[in-house]
Amino acid sequence: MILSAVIVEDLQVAADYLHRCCQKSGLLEVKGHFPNVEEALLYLNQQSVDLLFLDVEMPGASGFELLDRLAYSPKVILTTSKTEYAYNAFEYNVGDFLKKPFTYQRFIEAVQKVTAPTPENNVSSTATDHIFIKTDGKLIRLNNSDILFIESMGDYVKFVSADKKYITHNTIKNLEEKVNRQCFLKTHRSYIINVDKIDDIRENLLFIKGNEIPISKAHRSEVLRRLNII
Amino acid sequence: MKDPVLHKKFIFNDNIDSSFLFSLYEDDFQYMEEIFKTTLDQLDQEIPGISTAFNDKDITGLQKIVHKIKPAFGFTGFLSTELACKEFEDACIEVSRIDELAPLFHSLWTLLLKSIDIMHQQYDLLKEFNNQ
Repeated sequence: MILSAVIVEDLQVAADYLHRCCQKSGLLEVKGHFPNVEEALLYLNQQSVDLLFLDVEMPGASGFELLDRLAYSPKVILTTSKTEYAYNAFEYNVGDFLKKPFTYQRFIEAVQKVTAPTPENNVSSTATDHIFIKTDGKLIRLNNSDILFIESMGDYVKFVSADKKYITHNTIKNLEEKVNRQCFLKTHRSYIINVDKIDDIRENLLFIKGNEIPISKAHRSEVLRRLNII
Repeated sequence: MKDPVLHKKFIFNDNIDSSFLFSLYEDDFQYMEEIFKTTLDQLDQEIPGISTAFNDKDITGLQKIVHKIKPAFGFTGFLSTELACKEFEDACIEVSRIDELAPLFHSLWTLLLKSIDIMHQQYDLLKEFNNQ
């Protein structure tokens, strides 16, 4: 299957080289190249893509700001000449990191890494009324109605219910595709919440049983859309 | 049929790491010519901004432009110039006044102009080589 890709990069020679690597691979179709975040967002919020090649430092907003403002979560490969961004890359669940200039071989490794099928990652469910999580060496059933919210902890996530917390090896990005979307909603790159459990919302925060959950700019409109506002 | 030792017929300037270039582009000299052209076009636009930022005492602006052009030197095999850009970029973060950067800036400026001059020569030679 050929995946769609977009390049967000302000250095023309790097964008051209990336484009050529994509063509050579036969794995990716480049839908566009944008030299800054604003132009990229205009396109990306209209057309979803599978993979984003994203520079970090560009004129105006940074690559990380683009990820904050994007309404969905494509796979991301950062292309930068600064290794100092590795920590942020981890925070944003970036799939890989290409330090410019990079060889074609390194490019292919990165693409294969982010497009490889995701393992089951210790959670099984789809659109049912429960999920199973693997924790402490056993599978535990959690009813959707018992989960207040799910919080990212790097390579782990915390499932919070009214009286217990369960930690399991997984990511918010992976869970986003697995939880029942009628019950759950992503409000921030680090949080998925149970819509039925929201007590109140104040500006960019929502509250569930005394827990303060951030709502990012990118997710605010979707949160408001899901509420039964009269 | 493609000559497997074709790259031995084009000798790059000593300031260019040719092994690195071949690791990126193999022996595709047409593509190298494109890369040099694209890089020169962008450097023509960006270089004046460096001296403007320095004269305006704009350390952040200076750091941003040097950061932007740094990999362009990598893509064209000028690895020591790329490294000098990195060192200058790091220095921009450490200083608080532009005059602290002056010696390093003048040395970088000289190196940038020299590298671009060589890049122009190499581009012309590549063009000639590819037209043979």
